[in-house]
Amino acid sequence: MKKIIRISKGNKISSLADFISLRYGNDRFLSALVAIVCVLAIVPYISLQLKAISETFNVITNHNIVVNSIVNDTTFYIAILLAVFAAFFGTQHTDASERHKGIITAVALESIIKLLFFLVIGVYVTFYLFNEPSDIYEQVSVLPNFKSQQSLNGLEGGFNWFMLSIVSMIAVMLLPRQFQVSVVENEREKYFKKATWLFPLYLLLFNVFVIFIAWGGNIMFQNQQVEADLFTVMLPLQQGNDFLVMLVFLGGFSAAISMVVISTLALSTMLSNNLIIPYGFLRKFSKGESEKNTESIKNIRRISIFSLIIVAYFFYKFFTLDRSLVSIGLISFVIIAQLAPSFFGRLFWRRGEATGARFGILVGFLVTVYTLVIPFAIDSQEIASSFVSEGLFELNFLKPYELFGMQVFEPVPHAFFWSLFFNIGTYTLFSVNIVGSSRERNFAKMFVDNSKYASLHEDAYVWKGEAYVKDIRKVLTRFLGESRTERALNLFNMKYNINKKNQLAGARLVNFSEKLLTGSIGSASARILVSSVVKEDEISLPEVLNILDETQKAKESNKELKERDKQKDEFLDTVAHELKTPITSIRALSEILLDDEEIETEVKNKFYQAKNQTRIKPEGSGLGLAISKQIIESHNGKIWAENIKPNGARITFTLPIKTI
Amino acid sequence: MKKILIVDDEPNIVMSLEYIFKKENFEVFIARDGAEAIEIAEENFPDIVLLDIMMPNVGGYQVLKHFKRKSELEDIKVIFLSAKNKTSDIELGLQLGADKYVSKPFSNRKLVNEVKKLLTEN
Repeated sequence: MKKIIRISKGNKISSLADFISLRYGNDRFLSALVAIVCVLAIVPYISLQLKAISETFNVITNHNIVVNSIVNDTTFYIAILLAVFAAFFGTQHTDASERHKGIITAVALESIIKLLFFLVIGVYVTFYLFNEPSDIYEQVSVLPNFKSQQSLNGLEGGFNWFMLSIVSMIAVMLLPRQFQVSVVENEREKYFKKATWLFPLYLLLFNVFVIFIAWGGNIMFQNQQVEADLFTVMLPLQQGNDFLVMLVFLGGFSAAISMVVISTLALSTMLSNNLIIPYGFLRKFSKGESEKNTESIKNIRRISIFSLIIVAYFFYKFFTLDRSLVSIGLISFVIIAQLAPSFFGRLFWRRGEATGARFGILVGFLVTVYTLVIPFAIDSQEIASSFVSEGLFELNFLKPYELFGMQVFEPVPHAFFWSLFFNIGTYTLFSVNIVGSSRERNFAKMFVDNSKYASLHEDAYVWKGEAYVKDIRKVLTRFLGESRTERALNLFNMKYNINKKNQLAGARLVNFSEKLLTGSIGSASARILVSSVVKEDEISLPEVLNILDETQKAKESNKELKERDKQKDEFLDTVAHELKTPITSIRALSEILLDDEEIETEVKNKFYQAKNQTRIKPEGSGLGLAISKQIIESHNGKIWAENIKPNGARITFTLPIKTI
Repeated sequence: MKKILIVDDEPNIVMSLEYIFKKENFEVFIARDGAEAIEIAEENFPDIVLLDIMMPNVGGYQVLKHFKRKSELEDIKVIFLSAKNKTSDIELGLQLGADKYVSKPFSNRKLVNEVKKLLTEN
């Protein structure tokens, strides 16, 4: 997770789609695909929230009539209100990687309120409606279906439960709003540490009373048809406690609002940056004025937020009327889970490849649609069809809930299993068989070995080609405005100590400006724009490796130089030693002979002889041999001496013809 | 009578130094390499050692390091006598704890003076 945050900050990533596509070389199609998958997954989820609001609203106002015309439907107005609110508060800046502190504060506040209200209701149910926890347990344990509800139903149930846990785990990381809050809105890496204990604690607090409320609800509404989702409202309502009902409604209402706002915010960024701008508006933008561009980017986001909520409303209107909140949530989770292979594969597997990611997501999504969405839609519309019970073309092994005869799982885990199975299979197959573009491989290396490159964001990108600073500046100005561009470039020049007058832009500047733009218009568009002014040469794999290994090589050759230097020193020392030793002897002896007049004749003779010895005997100094040894050994050769009887010696040496 | 240990693998140097210091009324000990030097030092506790650096097997640096590790030897004065005369060599020798660094070839009189000076310091 830390890795994710670090990469995102370094590359100004503002959405899940950017994150995934950046790793695969800013693949435009892939990022659009991710955006679409997210939208398809989240729209039902938003509609779920709308449903939650309207349901509780209907319950407490006793409005149990299904309203058919939109004009009379309170939910519609709530949706519009939400849409307007989200559209205007979520789009203050064009740089989507900027944080929305205000919204986050509001969400934080809302979470605390929600928890507080929930705890109040929990205490109310446990200690007021019943005497204490053990009282609830005694009462609930006599209910007829108690046993089957509390246990996992043997091995099959265990499998199902396990699969659901995995789906939820993936969703926690990959839901666009989760990504938005934990990565995009994250100010510092260390906050994540805090969240790792605070967040589970928060959830645990929530869950303390969940079980008692659930049991309590089961006891109170034994023979009535009440959806478990509504227990928190129904319990106090039944007791006529209006204050608590209000409390619960407000808590749920604020929770839904914050979820909708964050979700649509994340989705709209994705829609605009990864789908609308790269496919529709890019050409127009690159010609337009900077202020106009900023305005239109904002407008695109506003419109997408607005329309997302409205679409969600209609989805709610036509599909989700009689489904439990949880089951729709799970469908969203399964769809989102399709992004998991390419998301995690990109982090830990260097071979992961764009085509593989594309088809993996596509195939996984189609399988999900087949095994979950279509049957679900058929069920909810009560269309008479043999599709579910008989399978497609009445082929038994194509039954959507029991694909290939697999009967262990319930629908959701079943769909999850098969979709991910095909998804991962496709992803792996393509990735292994296709060699990605050079650009893609650079990013793969950067993502997988992220810690190595953490300190060199602008350097980590290998690039060869040429561009003019003037052109890049023009592109930047169009999207960031004159002053911001100026500021950013000045900062950049200062950081890397680059002369302002340089006409040619280096790889770092190209990379830097691409990242600047990514915040505003998404990585795919930024890539297209920058490459329009940059003449880029295709880099071959050996070249990439060369550049990446350059530093390593420099280090090594430096080490080698030092080693050589040491060898040279040793050699000179030996020469000096061998030269100076006889000189030292001669000087010492001659000084004695010259200065000392009282020296005994015997000693005198001995000294004279000694002097002669040094000069005559070849082993006296050993100068030649020692130097020869040094020379030959530093050329990787060998030298040795043999005794030749009666009184000779043979000196032999070897030298390699080529240096090793 | 002060004791001096002369350590060098070149016999002519040893011979001349032995002559000079005997004349100056020193009790002279002689070693041909580092190992011998340590042996003699541990037996006779000289006041001062003239120590060559580049010797076969155990070199001068090792001898000095050995002296500095043993409490009974660490107060022995040491003068390096070496052909290595780069500033970095001299610095290294003094850093290891030598009292003086004299580069070869040396002047007999100056060497005698240095030895005497070192011994009268305390």
